[in-house]
Amino acid sequence: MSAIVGASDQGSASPARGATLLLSRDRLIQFSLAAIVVLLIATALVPVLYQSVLAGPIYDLTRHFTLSNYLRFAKSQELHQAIANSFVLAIISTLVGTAVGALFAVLVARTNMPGRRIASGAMLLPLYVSHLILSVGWFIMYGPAGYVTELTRNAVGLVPWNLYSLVGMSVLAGISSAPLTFILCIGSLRLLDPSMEDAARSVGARPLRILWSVTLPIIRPALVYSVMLNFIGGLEMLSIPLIFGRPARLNFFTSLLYSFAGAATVPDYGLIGAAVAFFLLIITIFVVIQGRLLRKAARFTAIRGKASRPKPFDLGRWRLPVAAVVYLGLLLAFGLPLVGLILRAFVQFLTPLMSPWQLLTWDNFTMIFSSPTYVRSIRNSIVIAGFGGALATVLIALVTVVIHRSDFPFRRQLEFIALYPRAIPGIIAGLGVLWAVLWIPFLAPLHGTIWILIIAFTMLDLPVGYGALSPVLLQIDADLDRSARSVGADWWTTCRRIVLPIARTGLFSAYVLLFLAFFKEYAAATFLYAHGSEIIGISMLEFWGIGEVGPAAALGVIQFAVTCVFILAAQKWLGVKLHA
Amino acid sequence: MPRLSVQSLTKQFGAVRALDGISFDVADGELVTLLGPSGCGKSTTLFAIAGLDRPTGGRILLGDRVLFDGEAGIAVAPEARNCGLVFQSYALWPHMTVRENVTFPLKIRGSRARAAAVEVDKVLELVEMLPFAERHPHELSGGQQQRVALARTLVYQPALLLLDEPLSNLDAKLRERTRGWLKELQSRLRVTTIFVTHDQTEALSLSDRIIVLDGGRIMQIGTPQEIYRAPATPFIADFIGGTNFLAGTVKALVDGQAHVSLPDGQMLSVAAAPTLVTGQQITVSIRPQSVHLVSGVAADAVASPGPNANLLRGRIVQREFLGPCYQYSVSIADRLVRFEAAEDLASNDATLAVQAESCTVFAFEVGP
Repeated sequence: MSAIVGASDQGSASPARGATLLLSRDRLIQFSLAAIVVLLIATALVPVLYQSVLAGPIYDLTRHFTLSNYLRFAKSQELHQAIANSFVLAIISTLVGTAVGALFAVLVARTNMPGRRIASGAMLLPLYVSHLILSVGWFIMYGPAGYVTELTRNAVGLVPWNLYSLVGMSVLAGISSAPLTFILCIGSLRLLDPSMEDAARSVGARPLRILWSVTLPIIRPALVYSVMLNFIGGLEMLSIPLIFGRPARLNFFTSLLYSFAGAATVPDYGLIGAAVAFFLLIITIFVVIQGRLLRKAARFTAIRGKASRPKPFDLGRWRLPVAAVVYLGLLLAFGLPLVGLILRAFVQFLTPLMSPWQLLTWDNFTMIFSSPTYVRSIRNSIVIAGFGGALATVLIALVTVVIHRSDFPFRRQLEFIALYPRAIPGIIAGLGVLWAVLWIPFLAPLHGTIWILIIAFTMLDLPVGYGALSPVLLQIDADLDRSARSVGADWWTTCRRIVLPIARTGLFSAYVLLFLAFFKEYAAATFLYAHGSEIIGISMLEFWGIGEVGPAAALGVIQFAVTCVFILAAQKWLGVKLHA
Repeated sequence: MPRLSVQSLTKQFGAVRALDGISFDVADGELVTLLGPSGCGKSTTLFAIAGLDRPTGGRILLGDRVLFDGEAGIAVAPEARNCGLVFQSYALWPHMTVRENVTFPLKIRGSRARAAAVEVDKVLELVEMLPFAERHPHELSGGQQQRVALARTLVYQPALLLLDEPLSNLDAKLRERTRGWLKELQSRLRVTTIFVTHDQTEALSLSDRIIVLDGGRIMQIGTPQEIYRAPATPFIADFIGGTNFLAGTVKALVDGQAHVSLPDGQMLSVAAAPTLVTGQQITVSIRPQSVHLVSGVAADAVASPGPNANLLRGRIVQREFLGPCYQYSVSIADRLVRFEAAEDLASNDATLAVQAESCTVFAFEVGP
């Protein structure tokens, strides 16, 4: 047996040689990954900040610095009005979205309301669908000439809502952000330790009292986080400002930027740069405040990671009425608009005055499939999501491993940077990347390719992928990689052969989430697409811009169908469960 | 030359010293146990040797190779140390079969597949796990996983075998069997081994030498016999083997024996340490095994139980039936003396016989 364990004296028999080098292979890879993340984000941010202090356009070789951009921005009534509108929309939509989402989460997770599973599924579906599709659906049903609007006008004589108003749009934006709040809150409600509620009950607290003083404080971190995401979501929202704001002559910051993208004249680069820099500053301040709040919140919450089944609150005789309200709400908010979108795609026009069966047509789809541009936009969208999503998954997985499973000295900072894109609105990221391409010569070949879209989307969705992968990696016992290190594998080998293979299911989930996020992204593409690199959302907006609602709806239906097929396939073939 | 040399190892967590100047040597082929209660620093020491935990100061040498030097800023990466660490949790990789787990260390050392397969078969045979080679870890029992974990470290002939409480997750019966098996295997392979445990029986039965740790410091280093028979401190006496303490005052020193007076006036003769002086406050440690029950009622009537035996009277506070014997708690001079005896005593009073040479004296007081 001495062949197996002889007196092998030389520690040098071990395989790792990196220890003697100044910079081991491990460190080199860790620094490279960090550099990629930093570069991705810098690509979106630096050109904007640089442009904001340049007199001429960023691509102009005779650059000189100035602060006049900021002065002009300070005087620009149009921009001020647009930014003010964006903030009003963000504030109202945050209030609506957080309240509705949290209420739904409590009803689904903590009460005995009938049909909770279906309600939960219906609430989650909008997460995977582009806001553009929802907005078009809402327009078709509830717009000034919408189907439901007309029905109501004919039946009652007046319409009690006006979506061409700031408040109307804000409420819509709130509804579109409610699913995000829902999913964040339901996550922490499911982890809630039921003994805390039982304890409150045993000292004599009534259910509503418990809800208010025990349950809500415990999901406070989730609420704070979703308030931040909803607020940023409201600020960066492009779909509702475009679809409802433009006809109502209401400008928002995003829709104003959007109009620069298609402008015939050379826009005022410096002014845009200054305005965007200001906008980013505001959002960054908000993100930092939220971080502070959460750090404090973590101190007095006691969420344990154990799977338990808390006893639901008994709604008593309110069970059915509550369920009815919930289902009606879901139907009005998401069900009818979806039906309207699908219907609209198959008819010449949609009106309560005529039966849709008399107006059935394939024209909208024929129009799309007979044009190489539109067919290409569908193909591009699928390639970007399928292939780009996979690339992004690999990158983000490695970055997450560096953050959670390495002794990389800057891993804290790396985490902060990787999460920062939450604060970058999609359309601004698109603008920044465009300017980077115009400014830096060796990036020029990327212009007008789908690669630049993949780069921008990857940067934007770093937090999505990181959020999906972090818990997976944290669940893997640290002994598993420590044992690999002790038997002679360096960090990189341990990552490839041990950590990532064990995290395989989590990687699939992250891929599915990134696929869906890439597939529905459009705002970042408005500045970046060119002939040949169109995507579905861009084509939809194009149809919309020239008043072709039918083909726009048809594209929406195609996008929705691909999304559904992909989710079903992912559940069947990859065994991925999308959020409970 | 020692195989492993640990010199003044320290580890500071803020104001807390988890390791406070740990120094010891391990000879080639020796099995040394780090023994102590949880939080004593034994696992921290082991992980520092493996390179998975970075100490704040000190040196670690393997042969003439420096693995760690706090002052020189040297810290060899764990994968470059060629140590074999068996984790308490076994840490088998769940996505690999037994064979793949054991092959992995050879693969990353660039072994050719065929040569590796031969070595893997040999080592799996050694740990009697060859029939299970194609199974996944979750299909194995705890004892089997433990053997695979051991095979995975033995397969690449580590310079040092480090075992972190490898038996603690096994049930009592299996633990005993595995202990014997491990001992036999280690003496056959002569691999230098450091074994971490909080279980004194494991330490006593397996080790060539035991290092007792408490509060991040080394309390005593010695063979199992030395540690058991001559514990350096009351803590060690109690931790290893268990003991009873009686407080007293030295009244006289005669013929290498100390006559000790207990607070209630009873006298006790014990083997005296050379440093003792008359009038000194001391603590006497009495192992339960050296206490015998003389009688309940008329102890005076019993013939002298031997030249060096002391007779102590006490009150029985508790009597528990354990099956083969009874466990008695007897109060003597306000201290409890626990021991086992076969007799079922009816009365409340007892007389105990204590061998003088089996008592250990500590020159300070220990709380009850």
